[in-house]
Amino acid sequence: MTSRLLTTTALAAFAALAAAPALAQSGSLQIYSAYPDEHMRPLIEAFNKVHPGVTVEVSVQPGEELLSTIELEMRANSPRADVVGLNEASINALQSRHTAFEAYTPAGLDGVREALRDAENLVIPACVNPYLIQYNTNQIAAADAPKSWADLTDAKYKDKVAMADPASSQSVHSFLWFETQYLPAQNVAGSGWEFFSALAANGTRLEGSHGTIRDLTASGERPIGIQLLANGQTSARRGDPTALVWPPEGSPGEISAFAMFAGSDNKEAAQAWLDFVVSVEGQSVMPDALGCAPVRNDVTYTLPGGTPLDQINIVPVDSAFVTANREAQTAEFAKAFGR
Amino acid sequence: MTTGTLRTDPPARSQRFAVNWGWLAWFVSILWLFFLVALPVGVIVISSVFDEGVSLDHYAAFFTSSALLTATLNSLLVAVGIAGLSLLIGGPLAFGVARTEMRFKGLVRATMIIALISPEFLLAMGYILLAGPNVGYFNVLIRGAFGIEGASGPLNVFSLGGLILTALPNGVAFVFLALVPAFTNMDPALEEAARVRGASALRAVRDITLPLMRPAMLSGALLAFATSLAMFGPPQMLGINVLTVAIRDALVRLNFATASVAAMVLIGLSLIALFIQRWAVRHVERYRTLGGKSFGARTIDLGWGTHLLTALGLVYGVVSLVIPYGAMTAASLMKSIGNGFSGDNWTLDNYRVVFTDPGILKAATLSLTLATTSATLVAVMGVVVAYVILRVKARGRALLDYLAILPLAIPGTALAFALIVVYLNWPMNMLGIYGTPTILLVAYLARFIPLGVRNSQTTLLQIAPELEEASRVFGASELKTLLRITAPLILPAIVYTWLLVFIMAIPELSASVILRGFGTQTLSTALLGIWSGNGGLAVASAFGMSIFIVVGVLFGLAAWFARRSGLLRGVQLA
Repeated sequence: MTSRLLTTTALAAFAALAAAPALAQSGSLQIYSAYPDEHMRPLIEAFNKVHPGVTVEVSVQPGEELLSTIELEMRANSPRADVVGLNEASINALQSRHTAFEAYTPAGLDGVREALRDAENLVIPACVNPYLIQYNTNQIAAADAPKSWADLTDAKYKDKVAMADPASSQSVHSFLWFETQYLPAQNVAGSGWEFFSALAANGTRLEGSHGTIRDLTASGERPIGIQLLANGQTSARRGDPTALVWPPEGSPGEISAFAMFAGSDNKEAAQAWLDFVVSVEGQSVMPDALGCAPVRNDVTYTLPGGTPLDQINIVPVDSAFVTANREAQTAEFAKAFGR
Repeated sequence: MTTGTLRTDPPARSQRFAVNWGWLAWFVSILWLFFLVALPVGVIVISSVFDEGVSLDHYAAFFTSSALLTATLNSLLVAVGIAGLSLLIGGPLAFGVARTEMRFKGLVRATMIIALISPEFLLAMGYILLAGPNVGYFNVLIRGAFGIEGASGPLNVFSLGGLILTALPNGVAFVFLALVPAFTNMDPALEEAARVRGASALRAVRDITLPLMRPAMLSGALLAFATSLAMFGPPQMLGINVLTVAIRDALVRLNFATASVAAMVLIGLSLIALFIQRWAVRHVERYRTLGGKSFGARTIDLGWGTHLLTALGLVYGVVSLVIPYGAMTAASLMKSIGNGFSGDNWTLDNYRVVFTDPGILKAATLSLTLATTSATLVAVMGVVVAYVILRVKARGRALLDYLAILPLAIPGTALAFALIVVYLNWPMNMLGIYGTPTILLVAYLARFIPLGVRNSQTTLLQIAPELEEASRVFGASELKTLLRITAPLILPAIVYTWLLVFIMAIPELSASVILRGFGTQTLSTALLGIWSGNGGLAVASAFGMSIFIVVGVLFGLAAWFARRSGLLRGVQLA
């Protein structure tokens, strides 16, 4: 390790002496990622165009498992990666228990929308992954499709809806926060836990992951899914007979993010990665890579189906609430859903 | 851990080498099972009772939680259902293939082998496409054919029954594969004696063959029972509340106490099954069918019974192989599974994606290396451990027997977390295997130990020790007896274990996904990555089909070679 560190430092010093405009980095960069390999690949390819000397290695686990693995590594005081890719709430949860990550202010951060920036710069936002309704166009005509979140409790959609189970999905906690905290604060009728009781009464299926829900929607077995944009983007790319609905109540947008481990062996490369993630180059491949909406305004982006970004109401999620109340929300949900 | 004193058998005979070789085998077995099984299980036991001091609070919490008790009941129902149905289907089919002139033997064997190669979540998804209540092909067909009103049913894969049917092919394969060698190794003279005395062929089978097959039947049923308890993918996907799903949910919430208590309950249930199995075969000498005389296994004419077996084989092959794999093949050729069998929805692109993916070749190399290494070690150590348990009179044999079966009951997820705890902390962290392919090997060895030990035990039980005694009487040492007499007789079991572990290691997912580090992508984790990525189910099906074809060809070559060289004498596989 020490020799690698020395080599890296020497190379970095050499690079600095050569006064390259973008400081070229080298060595290996190890990323723990909850985003699938296939989604990370375009991002890495684009990164390597700027930093060809860095060998990026990725180890992917589904988000919930990754969180537990890192937890065990932190307990043994032995983190293995330089960077982690998880959602904001999960990164915050690890940080609050172990001070696992180190703050860093990426070079282009001021181009990122202010509302999405982390005050402490521990969580570096990569893209926004809002919740929406995905439905199967072979099963349901556009005129009959649900228009809002509240519509999903309509008897017309009995036994047709699927959503993720908060006992196994991290992301869906953003949606729970939205329905039980945000909407009730706006005095929206039918929101709160009673919304989930009504969904349960309407025969809504719980699934372990949003990927399964996407396939159930695409096949028509569960023609309506409470879904994340990233999966809608995937469906659009592969030509599934599905369409997206942006509910007028709003779309809770969870922040897909990266963070640098405090114990990273190659901080220069890790920082170069974070710089790249918020840069214009990085942000323009984000819809093709992680499948979600860019965090900069100076990157052109149209949602699948052609909806312009400014016509939808993305509600920033209170990730501090999600972090602090995960257990309690899971338990309350189980009660409301009658499990 | 037991410290054993050893007696030679018989004690009067002074055989220095005999003592040493038996002792060495005992010592190696103890080490093997200690590091691979006792250590991770120990971690689970400790975290189930430790909470700022030793307490049973976690157990009290478990047994007062109605959700967890329901999960326990569901797990039991599923495991008993699968084990029972597996015996009912796998037993007759094994007999048919090994001892009768039934037709479609090739289809039946292929069904069994392929059931074990399939990644479980792909298969579950295939059954959802077929029997999903809303648009499952079967349901659409049935509703159309019988003019049933309504938009859903009559079949519902999202149920306890649906889970049992989805996971049944694995259990049937276990029973089948345990019984075929046993039927083949049986001396037909016993049946002939009954026939000579006037019994019908069916009666000879019922009164002579079936009772003799009890150890193999129970051994297969035990494997089916325990692996069904530990199964995770299908219940998770179908949304059935069973213990493995509860364990994962607890682990994800970092609630190691609940997870380990639930794992202990699973282990307990499997131990009870093992007690029952051991009790039922407690008089081992009754089941020895391989004595000193030579014989050739032969077929028996069951008359109309043969046709029944043919029909059973055909129906089973079609329902559990042709239809689900047909569905998967169709999905692998579709642009989007949502557009079904329409004209412009066909493509070969999914296969192109699989064969041009840069990571997949690396993953295939790693998976094949892991499968080969674990199959070899599990097969060889299986014989050693079984030999110690059955033939060496040493302390701690019963303990070895129980340790060797435990991993069956541990869900891959729980085993993986236990291994992380073991190999991240002192002193095992000094080995530095965490996050490397070696820790995957450790997990595979632990998971598949029971297969090696069980198979060798079943075969050793059939070999009368008199054969070995005779060798010793003529002055051969223990080692020579082992090499010249015992080893050739159990060689088919070793080869058979090797093939079985090899094909089961390829789709291993539940432990692999958690033990992944950098550069440790296996075929199954790559498959998961493809499924959750842009390709979705269509590309994942193409990948799955490619794995079947490649592994099937490799397996066929290995089996052909083994049979050609006489290594599989008496054992019929694919």
